[in-house]
Amino acid sequence: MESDFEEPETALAALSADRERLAERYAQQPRWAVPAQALGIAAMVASPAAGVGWMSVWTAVAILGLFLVDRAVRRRTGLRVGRPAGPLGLTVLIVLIVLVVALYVVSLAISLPSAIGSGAGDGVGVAVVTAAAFLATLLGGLLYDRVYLREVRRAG
Amino acid sequence: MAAEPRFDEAIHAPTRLRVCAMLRPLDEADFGAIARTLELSEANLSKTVRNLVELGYVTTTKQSSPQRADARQTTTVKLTSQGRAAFDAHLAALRAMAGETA
Repeated sequence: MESDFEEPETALAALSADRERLAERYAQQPRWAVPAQALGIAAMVASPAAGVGWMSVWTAVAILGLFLVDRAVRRRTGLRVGRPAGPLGLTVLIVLIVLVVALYVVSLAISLPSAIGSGAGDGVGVAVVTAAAFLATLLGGLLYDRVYLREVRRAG
Repeated sequence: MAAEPRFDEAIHAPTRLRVCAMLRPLDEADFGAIARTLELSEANLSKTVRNLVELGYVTTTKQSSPQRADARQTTTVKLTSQGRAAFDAHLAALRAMAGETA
């Protein structure tokens, strides 16, 4: 067992330096990762427009895409991050999830008439909602990463 | 919520503390990524991880890795809830001793 006792200040300084290196490693994730995740989420939001039969296939392909992005990030960094590093990150994540779920519900409502054959769907509406989901996830994802790096540098 | 300060002799040793600190904001990390980030030798890290496993503070799993083209497996290290609680309490104790506010 290591027995060399470190002064608290020394130990805290070492942890601070390590957190900086951890943040640098996390920041090495591919630059296309967040845009690719945003595309995957947008595809899921758009999936109701594909109709009842294809919706699940579309969603499955989007989930597979998200899984592959996660795998690529893991491959590059060697890290798996599954939760925010602090309260601000948690807030960003919750807002993003609520927003995406709300957009999905809107997409579902817009697509429902054509999906059940009781009317024409609103193609423009679905496109707008899908674009909104892409933008929200892209900007939210970039913000989340920035907040994560900041909270990792500051956290224990 | 801030952890109650509790000095933990078992993880105050520098390498143990650094490994716990690195794993704290993560779900898990590859053994190699920990070694490179903390600039530790594999032998040193291996011994430290083994000690932390014995304490119940981390768990390890072996799995095939996308980073490897061969059949060798990668070791993944994860902080347990017990390890997280111990680290948080120890960090709070260090900060208190250093006169920092959380």
